[in-house]
Amino acid sequence: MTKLNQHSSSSYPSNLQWLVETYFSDPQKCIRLKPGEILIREGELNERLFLVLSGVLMGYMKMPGGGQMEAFRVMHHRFVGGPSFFSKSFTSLNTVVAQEESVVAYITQDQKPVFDGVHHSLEEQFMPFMVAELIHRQHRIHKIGLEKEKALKALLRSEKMASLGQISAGIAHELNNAVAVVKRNSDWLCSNFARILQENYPDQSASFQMGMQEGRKISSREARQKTIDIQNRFGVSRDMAFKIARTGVPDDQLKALADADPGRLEQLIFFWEMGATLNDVLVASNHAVHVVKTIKELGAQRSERKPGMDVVECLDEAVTLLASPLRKVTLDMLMAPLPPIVGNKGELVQVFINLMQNACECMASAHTPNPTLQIQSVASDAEIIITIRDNGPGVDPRLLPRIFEPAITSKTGGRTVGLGLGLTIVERLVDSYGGSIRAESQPGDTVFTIRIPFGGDHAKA
Amino acid sequence: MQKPSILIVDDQRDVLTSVRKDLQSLQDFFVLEECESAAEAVEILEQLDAQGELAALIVCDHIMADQNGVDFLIELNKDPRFKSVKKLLLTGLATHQDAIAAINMANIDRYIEKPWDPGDLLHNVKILVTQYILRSGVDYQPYLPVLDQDTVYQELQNRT
Repeated sequence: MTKLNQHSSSSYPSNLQWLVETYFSDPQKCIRLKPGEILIREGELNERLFLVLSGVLMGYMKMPGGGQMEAFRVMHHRFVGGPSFFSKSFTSLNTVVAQEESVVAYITQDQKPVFDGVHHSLEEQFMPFMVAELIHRQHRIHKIGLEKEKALKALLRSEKMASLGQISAGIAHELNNAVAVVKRNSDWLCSNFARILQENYPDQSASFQMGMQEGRKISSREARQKTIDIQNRFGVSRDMAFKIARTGVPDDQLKALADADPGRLEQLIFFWEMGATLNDVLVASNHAVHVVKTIKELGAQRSERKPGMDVVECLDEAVTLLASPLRKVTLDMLMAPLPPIVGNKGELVQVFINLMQNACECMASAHTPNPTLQIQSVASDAEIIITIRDNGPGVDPRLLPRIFEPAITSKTGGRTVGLGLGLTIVERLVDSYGGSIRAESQPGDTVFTIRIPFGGDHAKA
Repeated sequence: MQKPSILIVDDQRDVLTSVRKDLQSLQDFFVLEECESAAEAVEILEQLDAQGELAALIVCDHIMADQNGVDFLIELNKDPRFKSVKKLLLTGLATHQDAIAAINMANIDRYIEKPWDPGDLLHNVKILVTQYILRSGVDYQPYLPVLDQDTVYQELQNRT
């Protein structure tokens, strides 16, 4: 009796041993199952409560519309048939199959309860174990649901990416062919026109070359400011004066032409415009090539990732590749060594180049005094943290919350610089490393912070 | 004869110049003003207004870095001084919703998609400046060489 009291006064889990000994130790009430053997069938009569003594059993549930779904998996000292036994429905809710050679013991519906010193009924004695069993099963179903959802999302994303990849590859091929024709032919026109000009209008050759090489560098505002001055100096119409101002041809060159023959100024506009137009064509072709490349990158399947990737090395490589725009800024690298991650160098370099290039372009177009780019690396317990900071004009606060969305773009010098997908690609890549990217900005201080977890394979499917 | 202005607004210089080239044939009758932003266009409109000169038409790009074309034209439409200025929106991003907003709120007279056909653009511009000239009360006779004849005929019929 003391032994029983000791059992009942202790917490419930220690009671399991007592239950096993009391109810499940009759060798007459034991079943040995071979792998694949069915213990009970869904919907059929079952008046027994089973306890697994060894092996593994799986419970399945019929799905509406055919097929079956995994409901639970039980092994040593877990119960099967609890819901039907205690609900008194005695109808099995699942089909239970042995996964390997298993032994189960059971009690039947007419089992008389044995007093445990506190509780008199089977319901009271088994209650905590039934609740635990149900919680167990519920957790498992929840987990299965989450995994399925994750797999489905990954599948949808990879399908979307695959079709975007295929479409963009098709577009790229067609468009690149068309653009190649445009580019090659305008090159041809440029060189031949330059030659004809050299032979027939040698004093206009410079203005053509200027239009072709420098493009439209004078803004409409600047040109308007100069218009009256040119009108007065050369006695031309306002319209013509504006067009002359737009060319940006230096005053001494204008004067030389006007002195030779006032008609030369009109010629100048024409030849300069010819050059600038060809420049427009070339720049627009390059833009088209860039757009195609960006779409292709966005749709590209992920490249292979290997362990042992040193992110500091990737940062160094990005800096090397950006040597020319970086020459104009002070580069401040505060690099702490980082633990290796599972990664692809090309992807990581692309992320850093994109952010650094953005920073350089912003500072250049705003003529930021003492432009400085600061790159810092630190490692915390679980993440590597890279910050890229510039002292440029910053991001418009209205734009900042949407900065990673596609097609958010800024333009400089009357020309589109990109497709507005750079940061979208960066975010997507960082996200695929299980990491995050955050942008904070105020005039004179813009910081992009990338966090990537290290250790284990965190790369998503 | 005074030369009313046609404002071309686009933040991309190459596009701006292309539009100007397509409207070049109007230059003996209208001043073609190039603007690289909505703000610059407002400055010019204010200037014209202060000098008592006419603005006949605004050919405006849709997506621009600072202020987008539709917002600019909506704002402009609220100013009684510029209500009669004809408005043409040139857009590379034509969504149904934008078109509805533009036409309803900004009182836009024409909506043309990029890439545009030069003949089509010029034709539409001629229709709009013809309407402007005939409704502004100035003598339309000197402008006849560049006006759209059908529109002139319609406008004259409407008068009677």
